Amino acid sequence: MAEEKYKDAKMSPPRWADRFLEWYCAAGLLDEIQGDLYEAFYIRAEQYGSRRAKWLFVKEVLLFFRPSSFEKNYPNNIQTVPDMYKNYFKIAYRNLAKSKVFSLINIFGLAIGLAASFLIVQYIHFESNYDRFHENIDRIHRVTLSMVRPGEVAIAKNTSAVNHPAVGPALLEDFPQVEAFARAVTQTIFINASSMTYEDGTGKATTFNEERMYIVDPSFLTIFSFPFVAGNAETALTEPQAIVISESTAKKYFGTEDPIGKVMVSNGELPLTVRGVFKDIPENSHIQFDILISFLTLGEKWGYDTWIWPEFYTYVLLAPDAAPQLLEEQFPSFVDRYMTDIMTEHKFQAGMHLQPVADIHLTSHYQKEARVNGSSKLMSFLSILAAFILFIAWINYVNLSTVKALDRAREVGLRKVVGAARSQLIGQFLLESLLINLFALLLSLVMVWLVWSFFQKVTGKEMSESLWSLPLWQEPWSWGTMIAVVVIGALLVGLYPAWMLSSFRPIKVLKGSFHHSSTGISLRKALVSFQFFLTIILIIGTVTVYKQLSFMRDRDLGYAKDQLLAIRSPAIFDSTITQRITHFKTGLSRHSSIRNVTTSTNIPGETIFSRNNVYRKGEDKSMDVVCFYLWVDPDFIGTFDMNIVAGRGLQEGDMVPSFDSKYIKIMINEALVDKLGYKDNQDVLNEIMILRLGMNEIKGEVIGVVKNYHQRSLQQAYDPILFYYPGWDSWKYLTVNLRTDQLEQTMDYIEQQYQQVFPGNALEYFFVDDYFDRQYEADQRFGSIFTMFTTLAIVVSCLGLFGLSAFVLKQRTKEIGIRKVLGASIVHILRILSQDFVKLMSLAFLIALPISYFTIERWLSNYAFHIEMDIWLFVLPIVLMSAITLITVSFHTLKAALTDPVKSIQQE
Amino acid sequence: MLPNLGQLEESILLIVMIVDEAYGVSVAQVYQKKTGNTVSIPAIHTVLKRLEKKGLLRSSMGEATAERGGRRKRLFEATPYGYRVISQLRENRLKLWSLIPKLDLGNG
Repeated sequence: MAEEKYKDAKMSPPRWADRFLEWYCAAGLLDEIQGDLYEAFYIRAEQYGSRRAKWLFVKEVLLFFRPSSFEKNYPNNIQTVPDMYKNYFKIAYRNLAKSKVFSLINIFGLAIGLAASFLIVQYIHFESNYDRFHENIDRIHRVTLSMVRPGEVAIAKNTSAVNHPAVGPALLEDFPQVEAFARAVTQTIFINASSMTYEDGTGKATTFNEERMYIVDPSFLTIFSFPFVAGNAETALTEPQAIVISESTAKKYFGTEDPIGKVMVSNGELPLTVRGVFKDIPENSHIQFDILISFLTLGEKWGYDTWIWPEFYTYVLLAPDAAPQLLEEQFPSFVDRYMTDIMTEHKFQAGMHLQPVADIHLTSHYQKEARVNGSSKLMSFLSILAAFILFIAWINYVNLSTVKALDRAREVGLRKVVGAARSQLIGQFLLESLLINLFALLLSLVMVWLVWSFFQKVTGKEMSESLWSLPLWQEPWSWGTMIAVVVIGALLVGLYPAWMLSSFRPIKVLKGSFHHSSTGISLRKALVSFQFFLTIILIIGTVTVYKQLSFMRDRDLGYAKDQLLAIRSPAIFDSTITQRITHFKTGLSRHSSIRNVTTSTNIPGETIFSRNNVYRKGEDKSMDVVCFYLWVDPDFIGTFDMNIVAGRGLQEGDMVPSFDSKYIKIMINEALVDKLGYKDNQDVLNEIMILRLGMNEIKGEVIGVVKNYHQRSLQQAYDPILFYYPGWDSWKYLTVNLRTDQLEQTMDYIEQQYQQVFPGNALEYFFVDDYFDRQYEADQRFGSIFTMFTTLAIVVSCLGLFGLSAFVLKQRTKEIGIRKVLGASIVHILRILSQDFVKLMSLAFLIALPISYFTIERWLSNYAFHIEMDIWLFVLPIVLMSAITLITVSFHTLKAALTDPVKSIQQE
Repeated sequence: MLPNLGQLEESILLIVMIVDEAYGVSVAQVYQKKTGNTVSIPAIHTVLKRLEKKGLLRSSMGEATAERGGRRKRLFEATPYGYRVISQLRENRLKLWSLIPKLDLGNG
């Protein structure tokens, strides 16, 4: 009866509002909300009539339309008591302990991923914080110089890090924003070699050849803040013939004595007084030196009007409020003011730029940098690598957790039955994920600590004495980021397994019919393919880098680099030097192990010092080409075992008697023949070229063509080179071609001869191949870093595969048993089981191939001489990857395939 | 420290203590009867939940009735803490009342 009353259409609440309520209201809240509204409706209908009641019903349905009504659970229903958390920890611990392989793979994999990224982050942080230790670093700029011919734009190739000596003083004079300037120039532009001698009270002399030496303005020490251990930085270089030296240099010469006030003699003639000692220049400085000589040694206001000698690093300190851009905008008129005459004469346009000193290390790759700078490209590349490894480790976690989820289905079912809400379960699994990630974090810190010194060796950077003294740790963001990565990572990788686990339906799960569920399979497949994809790219990359590096090392350079010993020319000499060198040469050639000796201004492995223009006689001057001038003696070609492809080599009679000669004999190399526009090497013979010698334009007759050889690294194309034989002393190197079998005796002989001919000089020698390969240091380092992290990535993904295949096979144990009973062979079973992985791997290859192809192509194009991209570059990684995968997978597969089927079918 | 209670919250807490079976509709009715003001069901729900969150009330699901369309009620009762809070409130208020001079409480 009562029922009917409530079914009366007139007396019931509006249908649409009711439906709307049912649509938005969470199921758990419908009871109380809808119930109360119905009840209120009938009461009101009695009191005020149905119209008013309907109106109120609609109004209140709308009022209930608020977030609290959408919540699945009644807010206070979930009262997670502390005991429950204890239970979570306990279960998490038990689960970790129960499946040790799983936990180990997860924690270890994550730890490797984290450790790799820490190392990379530390390296990047170090690289991007060069020169930050100077107090005024934000105000210090270097003034660079570009020289552009008509029709060219300023690029790294025609811009140099050095500038004319007059630029600094003029900038200070003209611009109030410039507070101070400092010039620094390497001493090698004044002398070929330099030695330092210190004679102590007893007359015992200590002599070393010094290379890392700069001549600097006194303000160099105040603009920069290199820390001093003795002497006063402000006054140390304010007098001529004053020097400051590094701590270790002081130790080298003076031992424990106080270095201040001691006199050292440069090249046996110039006495210099030590006025200060600075701490050894740290690795993270863009300019490295052991000795600084005061600029005043060259003379008062030296170079203040020299606008054509770009060899001087020029630093300026700007006023605190000065805007570098505004200053830079005035540079064109500044250049015009001082250099118009020179520019019109030499037909080029000069440009000057301000470069923040803090940016030099990573971004500056101009001509004549103070040292080889880092590369921001490498930094972004390493960041990508770090992300790859971290991703691979995270994917492992997701994959393993989703397969393992099936093992925990019962636990989830039971928890749900006793009333766990889904959000509670998600919380539980996220907590577990966080725990595993925290373990991994700790382990990774241990790993980083263990490999730290090794890593410093690989990168070739001495970043800090110990890991913990790195400046990175002092930055709060680094801790924040680290924690964020771990927490976000934990949430990221924990979310999907948690979501999946918590979605299990208790009835289904507890019935036990859950084992063949396909939950998570497609995601897992996608992730495994992605992992394969990343690994394949890394392997292809490593193989390419490795092949390119060995190609560069093994390529015939066009001369006999293995048996060449180079000796630096003596620093202390007098007018008899030419005779002495001849004497030394003949002395050496008398030894049976020494085949040949030559002198030259440069040897392969460095950029030839002298660069100038040359053009064909009879052609317009504007047709000239830039080439390198190499000064050699007639023995050069023979000693280096180079080839003359046309004409003849230089002979004694081809010697250029003096700087004023107007007509000389020259050799050129094939690259220059080509540049000058000759089709054939023979065509150029006996042709006349116009070249510069000193201040004059003179004629050079080509007598021979030298076969191309690699003067610089294989990254560079063949340099165009012009050779001639000057009769004045200009040697920087004596190169000896020797038999390497009795090296020690030969070396003793050379030493003895050297001391006899050049007394007072220190013999300094090195092997040309080492010297040449030094150019590949950066490439080698890149190769080692790349290989190191690729190996880590492969290890981590193998760990994942290993774990994954174990779990997948566990689920298929019964199937394998049945197949065996029905007569499947082991090979057949292996094939079926590996099939899935092979499929995923093939897919990954298809995607990875084009991507790696283009990446490699771009990388190789940096090298003028590079390997050809052949099919093996891609086949090898495929074979390697397949082998690794199959070995990893078959470990379990074989076990499964060999198990007695009776056992596996009996299960359950 | 006493929890901060609004006037409506206080009244509804008291009503829950008075009524045998306290749920949205019954509370709303008693409130209307005792104060003369009307209050919407959603408002009551909000206040009840808030009080529960503050720990002054607890709730459980009751039985279903026909006029509710077969829906169950959420029944509220005051927690011991709720009783403690309300008596504390009363005491505090009385203390203040007694401080007003020349006020004859007897005559209301």
